[in-house]
Amino acid sequence: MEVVKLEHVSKTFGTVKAVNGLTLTVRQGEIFGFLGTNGAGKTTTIKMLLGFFRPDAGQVSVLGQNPGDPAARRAIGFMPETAYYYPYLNVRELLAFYGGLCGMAKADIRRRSAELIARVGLEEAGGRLLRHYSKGMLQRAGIAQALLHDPDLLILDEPLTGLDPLARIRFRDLILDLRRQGKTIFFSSHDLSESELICDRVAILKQGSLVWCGTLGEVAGDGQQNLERIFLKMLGDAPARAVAGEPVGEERP
Amino acid sequence: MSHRVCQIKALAGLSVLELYRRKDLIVVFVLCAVILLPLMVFTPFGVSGASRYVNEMALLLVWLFSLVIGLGVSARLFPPEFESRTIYPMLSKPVARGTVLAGKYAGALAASVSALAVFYAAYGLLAGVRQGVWFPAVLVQAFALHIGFLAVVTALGLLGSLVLTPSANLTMMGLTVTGMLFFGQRLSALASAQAWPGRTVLTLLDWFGPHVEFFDLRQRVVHEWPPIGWDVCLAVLAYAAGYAALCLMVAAFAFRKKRF
Amino acid sequence: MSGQRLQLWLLLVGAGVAVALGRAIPVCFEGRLPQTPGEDVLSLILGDARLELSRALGEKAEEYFHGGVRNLNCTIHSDAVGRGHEGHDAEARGIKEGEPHGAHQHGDEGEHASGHAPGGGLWQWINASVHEQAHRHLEGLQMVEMLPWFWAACRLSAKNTQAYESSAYVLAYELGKPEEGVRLLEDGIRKDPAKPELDFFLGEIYFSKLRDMRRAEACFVSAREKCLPAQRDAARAEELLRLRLRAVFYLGYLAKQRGDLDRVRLCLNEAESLAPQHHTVRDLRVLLEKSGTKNQ
Repeated sequence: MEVVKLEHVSKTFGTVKAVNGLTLTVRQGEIFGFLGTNGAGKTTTIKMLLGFFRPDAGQVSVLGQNPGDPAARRAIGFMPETAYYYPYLNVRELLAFYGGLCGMAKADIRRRSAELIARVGLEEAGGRLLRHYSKGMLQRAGIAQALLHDPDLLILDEPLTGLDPLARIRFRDLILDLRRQGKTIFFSSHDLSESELICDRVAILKQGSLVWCGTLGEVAGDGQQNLERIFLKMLGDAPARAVAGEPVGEERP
Repeated sequence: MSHRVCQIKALAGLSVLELYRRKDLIVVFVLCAVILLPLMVFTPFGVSGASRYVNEMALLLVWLFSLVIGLGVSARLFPPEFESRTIYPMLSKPVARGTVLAGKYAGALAASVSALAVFYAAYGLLAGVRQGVWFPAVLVQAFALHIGFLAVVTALGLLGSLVLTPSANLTMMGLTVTGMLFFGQRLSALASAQAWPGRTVLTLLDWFGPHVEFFDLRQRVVHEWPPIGWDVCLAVLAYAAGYAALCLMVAAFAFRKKRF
Repeated sequence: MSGQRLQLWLLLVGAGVAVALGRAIPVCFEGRLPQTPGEDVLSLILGDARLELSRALGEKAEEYFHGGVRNLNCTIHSDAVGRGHEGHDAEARGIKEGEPHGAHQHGDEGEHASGHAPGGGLWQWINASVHEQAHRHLEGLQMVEMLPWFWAACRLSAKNTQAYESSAYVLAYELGKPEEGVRLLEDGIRKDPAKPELDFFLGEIYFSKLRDMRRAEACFVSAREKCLPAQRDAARAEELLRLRLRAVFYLGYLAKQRGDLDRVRLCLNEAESLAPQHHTVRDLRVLLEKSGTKNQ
């Protein structure tokens, strides 16, 4: 089943073409890595997936629905890149707030909050105000809020930023565990080695256009190349391949 | 409780919690006490017995601080959300933008009104102890109309927070509200004394500007005039509701078009 | 010694030095400092603006007199000293004990209706309903409510003669505290000795409330003398002329009380030389007539 579907999606801001004819799909239960340099259009794509704005051209659907519809977002969990959550709340209050927005019952919020706070390793800091949290702790609080309503699709924007090595391992375990539960994870990242470890498929974006999308097995090819080398090759190589008539900007089967 | 009400409650609770956690109110109360206590024991020319000036100063402070709190809270509703990017996780939840707006507005109003209630309770007790009259009808009316004032001010602040920078919002709305408090009563007379285009500008301001002076019953409270008719009171509150609704509709339009 | 403790000690020593210098400098350099002795912080900060502020506070007190209603065409004490007794028969009305000296004046007598006409649109109707416009005055002891504003007005500027007069009027005539009124006026005269109004009013309080004729006479003499300097401003000259005539009348009246008719005649001559058609001349003549002696 296709959880995320983008068809010839384009978005322009003024004279800048942020996303250009992007077509890709994300299937249920997979971990999908969305890679690209700064300004490649990753965050713009994510915002369209969340319905923050509509594409100028093309179609976006999430779990078969238009993401602009609030009901469609019931099954989406989103963690933004470095959000500085409300500094006057503690993590329990933060989760209670987001739980309220999701329409969860108070008892469910309490149960899920306790569970997630333990899972992201914030039990000891649970009563402290978020203004006293480090960047890594805020990231963990962000993960907790994204998972609070038990979404089917998790969209993570640069989730590894600010996490220490131990937290990264925990995060990786968490993501893999979620996949085992049948959740779909769509995450954008600069961290190629981490992506290589956990992603089933990756897409590489350059200047708003898709330059490559496929499984890591396809990327590895002869087994000699890692994701980092492929990434560099794709970004440097793309114009030449486009001239040569190779498929660029289209998802591989 | 319906899903939407639950969401509005969560959003409103956030604003109320912010006001109390930021300790703004404590600062305001301490400031009030510092100003009013010396006035209460002051005996001009060695003659005691004057109380109206204390009442006037107390109500002036209540108005000033309620304006500061109302505008401050409402002007802070959205800009920090955009700056700290918490607007993204918020809007990624199954919540409509209109609901976010309504919840934020309800929060700003609830926070401001809760502070106002404390102010009026303190004023009522102070005046009761000094003058022996406990919460007269005119004070109840003054409180009700002051809520109407806050309804308009927070709606203006909310609208401004979506279309202006925070400092521009505070400056513009602060000037508009205080300007209307001082000159609102005389706008039509001022307009008729002007030539074009001043007359048109002032007439438009008279028609569409927020007539916050309607909500100001300080003169009646301080000088012990009788309360206004309840029909007038209801008409003024209806004006507040209508004006706030208009501001919220414009704000909803701006929020829908807002790009993050 | 730790750094923190050293900082604390330095802070304390610094504070001590600052306090000591603050106490020592005015003593050591008395008369050589830029500030005029006796000038307070308000004067230094506000400069000439303090008179305007003082007047605004005086208007605030007037607003209190009308129950918070502004811009009504009547005042508690509008130029009472300058015009209050004009055209009055001294024996019959002008100078009885406890009589407010023309204290409450209306620009348009009998106009006690609303100062803000309702009508002319919905907004005006609401405003007229919400903001009380009826004409009402504080009476008697209620006037204590005005004192804080008068106090501030006097404190802000000694040149605000009107504030001193009104304050003294409320104290002496409405609240029954003439001693407080006298103290205030004496303070005002000390701070701004050039203006005769305060001397005159002080004389009136001594005369009508304290019945101290000797002091009252001294005050009226002082007021009359301060009225003498020539004025460039015609309106001010007219005010001073009228005040002088009133002082002359009081002096004549006091002389008559003592039985000093020669002195009364001198007062009458002075009044005639100043303004032959003025009612003071008539009033003084009446005084002399009632004493059974015609002026020659």
